[in-house]
Amino acid sequence: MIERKKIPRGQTGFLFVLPSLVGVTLFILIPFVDVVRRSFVGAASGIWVGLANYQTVFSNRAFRLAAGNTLRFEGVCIPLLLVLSLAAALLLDSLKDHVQFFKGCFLIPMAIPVASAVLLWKVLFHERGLLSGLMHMLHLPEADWMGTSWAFWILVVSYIWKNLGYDMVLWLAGLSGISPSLYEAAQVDGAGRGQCFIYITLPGLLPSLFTISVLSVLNSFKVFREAYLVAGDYPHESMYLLQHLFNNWYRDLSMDKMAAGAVVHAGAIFLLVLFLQRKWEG
Amino acid sequence: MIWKKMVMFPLALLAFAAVYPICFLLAGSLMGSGEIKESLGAALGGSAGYVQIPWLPRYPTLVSYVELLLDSPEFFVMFWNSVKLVAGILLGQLAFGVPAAWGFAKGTFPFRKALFTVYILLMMMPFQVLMLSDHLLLDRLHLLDTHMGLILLSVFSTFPVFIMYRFFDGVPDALVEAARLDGASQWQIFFYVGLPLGSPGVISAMVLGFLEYWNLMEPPMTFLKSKELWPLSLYLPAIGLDRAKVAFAASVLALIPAIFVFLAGQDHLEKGIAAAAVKE
Amino acid sequence: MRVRKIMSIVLAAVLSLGILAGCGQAGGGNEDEKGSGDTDTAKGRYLETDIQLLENTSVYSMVKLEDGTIRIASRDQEGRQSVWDLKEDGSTWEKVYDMPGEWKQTDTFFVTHVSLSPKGDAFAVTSQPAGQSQEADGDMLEAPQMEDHYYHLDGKGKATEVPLQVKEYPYFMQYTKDGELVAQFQNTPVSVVDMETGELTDKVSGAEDTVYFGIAGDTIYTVDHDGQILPFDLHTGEPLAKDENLSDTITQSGVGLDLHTLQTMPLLFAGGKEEQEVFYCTSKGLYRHIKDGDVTELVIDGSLNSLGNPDTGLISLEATDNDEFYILGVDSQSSKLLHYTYSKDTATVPETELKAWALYDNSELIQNISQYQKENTDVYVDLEVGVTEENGVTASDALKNLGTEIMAGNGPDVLVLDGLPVDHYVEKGLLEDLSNVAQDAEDLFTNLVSAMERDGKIYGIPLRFSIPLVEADVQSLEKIQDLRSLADTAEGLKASDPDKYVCDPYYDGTMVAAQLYDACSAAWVKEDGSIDTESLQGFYTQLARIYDPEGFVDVDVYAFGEGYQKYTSSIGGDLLQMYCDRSALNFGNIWSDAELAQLATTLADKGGIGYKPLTGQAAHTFLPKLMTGVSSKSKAKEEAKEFVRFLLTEKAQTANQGGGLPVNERALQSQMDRIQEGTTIGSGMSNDPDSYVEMTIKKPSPEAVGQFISYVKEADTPALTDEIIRDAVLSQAGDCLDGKITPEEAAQAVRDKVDLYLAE
Repeated sequence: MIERKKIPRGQTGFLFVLPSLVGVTLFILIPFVDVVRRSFVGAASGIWVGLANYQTVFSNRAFRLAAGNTLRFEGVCIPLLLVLSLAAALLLDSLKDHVQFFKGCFLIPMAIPVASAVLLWKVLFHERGLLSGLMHMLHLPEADWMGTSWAFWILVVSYIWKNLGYDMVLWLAGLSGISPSLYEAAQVDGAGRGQCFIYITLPGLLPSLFTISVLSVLNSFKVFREAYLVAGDYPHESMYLLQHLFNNWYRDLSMDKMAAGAVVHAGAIFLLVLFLQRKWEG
Repeated sequence: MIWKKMVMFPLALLAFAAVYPICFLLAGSLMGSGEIKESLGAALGGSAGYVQIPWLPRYPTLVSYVELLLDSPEFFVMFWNSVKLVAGILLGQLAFGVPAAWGFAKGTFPFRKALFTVYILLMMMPFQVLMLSDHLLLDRLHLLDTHMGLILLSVFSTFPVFIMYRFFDGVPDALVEAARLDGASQWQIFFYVGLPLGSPGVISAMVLGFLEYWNLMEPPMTFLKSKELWPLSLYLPAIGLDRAKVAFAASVLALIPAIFVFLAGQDHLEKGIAAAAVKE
Repeated sequence: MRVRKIMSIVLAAVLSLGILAGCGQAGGGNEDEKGSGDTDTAKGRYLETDIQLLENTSVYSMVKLEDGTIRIASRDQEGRQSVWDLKEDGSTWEKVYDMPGEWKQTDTFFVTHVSLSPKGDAFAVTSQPAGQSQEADGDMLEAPQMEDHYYHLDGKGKATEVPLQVKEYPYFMQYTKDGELVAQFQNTPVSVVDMETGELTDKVSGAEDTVYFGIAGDTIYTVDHDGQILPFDLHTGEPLAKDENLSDTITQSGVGLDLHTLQTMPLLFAGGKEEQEVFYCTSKGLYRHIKDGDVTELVIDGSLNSLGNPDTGLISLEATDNDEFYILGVDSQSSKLLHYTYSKDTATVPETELKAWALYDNSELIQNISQYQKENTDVYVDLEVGVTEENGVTASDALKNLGTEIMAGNGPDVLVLDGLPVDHYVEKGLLEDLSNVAQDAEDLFTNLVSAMERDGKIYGIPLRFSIPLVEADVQSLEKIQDLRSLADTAEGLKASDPDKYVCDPYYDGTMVAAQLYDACSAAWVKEDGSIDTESLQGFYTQLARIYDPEGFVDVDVYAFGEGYQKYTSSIGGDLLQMYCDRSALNFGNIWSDAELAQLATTLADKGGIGYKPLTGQAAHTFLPKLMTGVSSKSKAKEEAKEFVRFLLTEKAQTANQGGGLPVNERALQSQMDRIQEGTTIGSGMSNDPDSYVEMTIKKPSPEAVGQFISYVKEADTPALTDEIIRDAVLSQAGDCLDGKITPEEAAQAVRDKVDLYLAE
């Protein structure tokens, strides 16, 4: 009994983490380190080339396009999703009944298999698909939507469709964490709805924001599956993402470029996570 | 009341947009080839005009299901492959992920924070970044083209650890301390305090995991060469558009387990998602 | 304390691993199979030899007589039938008897079937026009009514007509070891033929659905429409219990049991010297099974000899008492009698394994592999195909898998480069220089091979090629010098004779573009590798002049399936149209000796028509196919090169399944020599009887062949083989010809897409 208390607190819990850590190291961390190593060597030769691969990658038009698109995609769809899902959450929060029903509806897209969603995409956005049919009825120009710069927005909509419910539930949880007494106190002080929102709700939600962002970014990478299944290796330029490029580099055995690109990508994510975590923890 | 109606309307619209695809798949799966060609032919195979919105099949028929279930023995094989894979992955995540999440949440070892940050970072890696190295690793372990290899790779995904961490983090320290003072061992505290209080988190991680792995595409495509080993998620895209009706039926059948798990676990899932957001 | 805790964690980890391992095992079963080959140098394997048949004979059937002699019935070059026994030496033939002299084959008289009995007698079916009703001249669609006659031949060849009651076409017949003839006629069940009365009695009960059957010992096996294999007692005809192991092994081996011809069968049976022994043979090999037993063993692996050759059709199988096997088969050239003998000293599994990889399936290559393995019994060539109909994998995913295997060091030794990112592979040094192989090879069209040279090295040698041609009346032909003059001529011809086509009416814009692609594509890529939009714009502009959207007849694309798309570059379908004056101008690639024969026939039969290589935007172009390379990471480079050398020999190059013309000149000559004079080809749309046309093929004269070969020898510019560029160019062609976009926009769109691809 007494002995146990002597176990230095600094050691507790590590044994719980250890098995997972071993597996993660073997199956994820070591492969990652291998990617980093490959980014400094030639594709098939394995000869050390220093930063040459990075130079190639940064001067590569395809990489710049793909990185730009990926940034643009994240920059557009993450804020859009955050705002939309917050709006939906606020609406739902103000609604006292049917809440469960609506939550269910919004979450359902998460369960739809990618391939089935793709079938839907094809029917919707084909040159002679539903959207074109609608435009035709309204005497507006129709198009092969996936082959125009609309493709980017189709990707955004599909991402939002799939993740709205997820983020909405996250916001709802954040909302429920704000003590009702705060609102009561504010109302006593004569604050209006708007003021309540700005001075109580938003600050109250701030801690949730960072987690929601991390998860939203995480989910945004999954959109590639749909894009790939619908448009293949070379979609319209506007939705040509880093994952397309990595895929194609892989296909052409340009492992050197792929590794360097992947490390740059990972670095960007690392900075983002650090940034969010600092905000979040502090 | 008017406020309420005003709120209801956009919500109902959004909800409809979210749910409509399921109706679409269901309607499509009940149509015969003729009707499919008539309403969707414009997009799927060259006929003139525009796609018409499929609402309800005019001549409902189960022929697609019959064709799929009776004439496509590979469908069953793939269905079971999916079940096997998902079960293996989720069991593994239970065995490795749950203790790890507990350790990160309540442990106090050095570099705990840093290590957890590494976990978050690894969780965010798109598949394409690691696919070559993963492939070479599996090759070296002679696990290429086996379910085992695919399972192992997914078991050590750090995402469930991240989700469950928030739950275990929410278990009051006072309770843990009290248990410790009562003489409970580390494992006893984990089993009798942590697990019961954190179970919604575990369940929600499992539900999220199910949805993720039931729809897994790139890893099996990359690591499984033999078609006999493929999961259902790869069967769907492989159905050509010339067999669109079968694709619909297969979609619906693939959707059923996902929806079922989803509905059964919706409460926990919500709590799970939610817990991730709340900061104590 | 601490130790115990660690133990428990380790235990937990081990336990959960155990659970997982259990899961994985079930799926990973095939890993073990591969491993079992490692038990090194086990000896003993059946080897295949061809028993020389009498020259230019085709063999009807084979039987093992009661004394063990192998007997065949054959027809010689003159159309006379005789029966022969294989002498003791196993290689020479002794004539037993000639069949009646009046049976000599003519245009109207055939001996269609001969079945030999182990007891020495035989049964034959002849086919001749019924009564006096001779064919009415000119009406090509109505064939004269044919009538079958049936004869019993005794051991000396004396024929007696059997008054068979059923006048149906015979499908299959086989003698039992008791000398009873079991036969199946169209629309009749499996029956026994009474040679005296001609009466048919049902042989087996309750097998109406039978497609064909086989006999092994005292059991008759029927195969029905669902591919079910059902056993019946040979003597009583009663159904026996289903032999589960036998059915399962056959079904699971993945062979198709459907019947495609009436001459050959997918599955043959034979009894062995033991009562319960059953031998059966499919394209996968020859198997031994004990009736109702739990095991079926593979005796002869079909992938190591002619059995696995897609060109081999099986006719009959006999097992001798000293454990040898005879299989009568046929390939596209002649009958084959294959003899299998056990060789104690040959390694059970060939010692050298060469891995070959191709993105798409190719029958010529499979045929060549089969030939090579037969000659080199110590080499096993394992061909893996990336994209097959059943795996549904996209080309890009297949290439990724290939790439990973190469990176992991267990990539293929021989690579078919069609559809592969060759530039990238060369840049990374993954391909071996094959200049030596190309130099060693004899009779090659060296211009085609050296056209593939880059920086003095040859990384891929095309095994086949096709070449774009243009066919028109001689005056017009002279005017065609490039794409623009082709378009001028097309417009001129269209104006002067609006009833004739200048491009295939069943081809839409994309397909017509495909027909011109190989004559132009070489001009589109600038020296720095970027796309020359100007020249591409020119392509679209001229294409629009040639293509006539109003003449396009939309046929349901569903009916053709994907194969339709693949062969759209061909001129083949149009040749017949020129022959019967329906088209005034044809262009496209020539792919096969058969097409060449059609072309030569047209030129010979009709005056004033000519052809020449099509110069589009580039001159002297050809499309290299089946480009074959050797991996520089291969551990068996020399063996791999040896295999490529074989692929270039006349023998290998003569293999012909329509995948392009051989790059070996002698092989091309010999293909032309084998053209059958008098074959009639015809074509038409089923919904339009007026569209039916036909041509009777003439054997091309040596001059005609020489002319073509001289054209081939001028070709020195390979067309673009990059599939991404091809897809981009062709996909814009449709929109451009429909007028949705201008040629300039189309060229720009291609450039945008391809530049991104090239920038990667």
